[in-house]
Amino acid sequence: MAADAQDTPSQTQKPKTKSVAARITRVLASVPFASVVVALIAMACIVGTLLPQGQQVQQYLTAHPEREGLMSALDFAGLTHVFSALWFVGLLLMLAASLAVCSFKRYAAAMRLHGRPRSRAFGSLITHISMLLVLCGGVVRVVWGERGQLGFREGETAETFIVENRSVPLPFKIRLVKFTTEHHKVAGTESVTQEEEELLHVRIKNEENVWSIPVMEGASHALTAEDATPSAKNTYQVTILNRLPDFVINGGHATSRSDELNNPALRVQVIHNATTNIQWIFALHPGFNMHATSNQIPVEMIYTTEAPAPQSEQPVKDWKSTLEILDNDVVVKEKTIEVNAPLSYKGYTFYQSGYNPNDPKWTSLQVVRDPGVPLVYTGFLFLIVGLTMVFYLYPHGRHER
Amino acid sequence: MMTTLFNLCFAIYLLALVTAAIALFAWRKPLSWVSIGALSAGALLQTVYIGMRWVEAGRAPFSNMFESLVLFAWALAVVYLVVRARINIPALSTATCLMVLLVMAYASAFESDIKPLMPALQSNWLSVHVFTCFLGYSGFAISFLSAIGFLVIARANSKCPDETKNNIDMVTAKTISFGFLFLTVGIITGAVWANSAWGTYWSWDPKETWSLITWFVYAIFLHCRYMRGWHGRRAAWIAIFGFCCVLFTYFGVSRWLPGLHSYA
Repeated sequence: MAADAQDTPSQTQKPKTKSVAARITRVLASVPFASVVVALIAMACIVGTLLPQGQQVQQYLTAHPEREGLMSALDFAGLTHVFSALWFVGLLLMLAASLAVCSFKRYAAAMRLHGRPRSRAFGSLITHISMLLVLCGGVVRVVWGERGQLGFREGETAETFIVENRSVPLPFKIRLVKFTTEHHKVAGTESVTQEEEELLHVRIKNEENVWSIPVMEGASHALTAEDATPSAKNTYQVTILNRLPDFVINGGHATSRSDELNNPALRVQVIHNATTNIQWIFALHPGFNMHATSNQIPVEMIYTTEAPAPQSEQPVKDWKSTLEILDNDVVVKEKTIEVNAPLSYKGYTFYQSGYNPNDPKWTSLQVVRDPGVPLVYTGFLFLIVGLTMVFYLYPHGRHER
Repeated sequence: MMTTLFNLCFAIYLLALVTAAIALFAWRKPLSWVSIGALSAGALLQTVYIGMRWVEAGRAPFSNMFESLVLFAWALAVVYLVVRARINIPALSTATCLMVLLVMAYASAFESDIKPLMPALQSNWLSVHVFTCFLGYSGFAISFLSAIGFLVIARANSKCPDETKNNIDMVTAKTISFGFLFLTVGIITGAVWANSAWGTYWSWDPKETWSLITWFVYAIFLHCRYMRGWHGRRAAWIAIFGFCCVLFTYFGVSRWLPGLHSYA
């Protein structure tokens, strides 16, 4: 009897339990549930981008100290670290559960009806599984991944890297052989290739006055001392005949090797008191004049171009670090890394990260070990294939119309 | 030379708009063809413009607001021409020409100088990432126009044949499918690029996050439509909301939420 009494409830409970599980499964696989979860994640993302997050909170409080109470309340509600908050992770888990149940139900239904997934359903299945793979890859990264920094100078070898203020050993050594910073030349040279930035300074001997003439080929200027009346005796007619930015003698003729201001030179004609003087003036060699005719006219001329900006002020083009990996003190790998081209060895990847403008031989590297990347990339591939199948290989439109 | 080419594109797009607008009311067929011809010519000329800029800069010209807007206008014209090859909706032609023209006009408000790229942007992923994103945005832009068109004809002209309504509704869904695929590829290529540059494929940067929000909105649209059978007005409203998210992702984030993409 007792046994009967014990048996009876379990017999009646079993189908009830099954129906609760079925109900949960049905809810998880439903479009409204998935839509609500996705909408909640989207809203959380909006909050996460509009409110200060993580380290931004301190910066915000420095600018608005009066809002400390508000920020404390937001922090308590988990709204100042949305993307690492437990409730956000919970939403992502609900999405993952929805994707998993939905994928399984579709697969099971297709197998029951057709013995295999239909082509369009197969695309949809791949799409949903792909997102599960990406989420799994993210979990692997959080649980088993490492991410830190490593800073050293040329010639130094490192065996550890820093993860949140603690030193983590590397299973090998890494040496910085060379570090270089490359700069764009554009900003400096562009400004000096404009002719109006270039000046020809002319001073008549024994005169204090200096004329600064903008350099332009063919430009002619009549210069007369302030207290003198313009006449053939008092006036100096200065004409810029030629401008060569990169002066070179080629085949006995002066010519320019390029448009770069590597050796800027001017051919200047000065006419004074029926005497003509033509000479070459060099910006980089102010004392050196090449005379094409006799120099009987008492004038001094200096040609200046605006000095290019110091290299450190020019925009950085690239940073390059030549690295050696030493495994058991033997060099097993060598590579010059730069931004967008890291070095990988034994699951660790080294990214060009930072530099010190005051110490050109020092660099910092980002050190990452993320065993979830293959899962994530497989998910990415599946996602593109799945969506292409759903939209273009077996589109809904054919059935829709 | 480049400025002349840009202005010529603008003029041709203007011709496309004017002829498309007139074709809405009179001489429908001939002017409609003139409009499509002008839009095609404009897109072709703009392809030359982008190509020349690419050669001059020595890199893909997709790195600042001016360049991205030029690409957006080009992608809008090209994606619409593909839609037009399948289906002719005169009002949509006019609206698309207007949008292309507005985008070009807005682009001209930005500095068009070619500037050197920061190291992280010097990657071939830049061209793939930006190009696919803007193909996606263009699909969404056309879906936005067709959704508005649907709401207008559904409200103001009840005599409008059901076939026209269905066609417009279908354009909305198809362009969203197209946009969704390319936005997905854009987000993925951005993630792969970020992983090769910084060692993380996702960092909750505002632009990334808003792209994801946009992706979610359109994912809801696709599920509602194909799983729950949402058509007509409800679908149109989601399409409009989705494009508002696109606009915020593109302009709003760059303006108000600086992050890794603050240069764009």
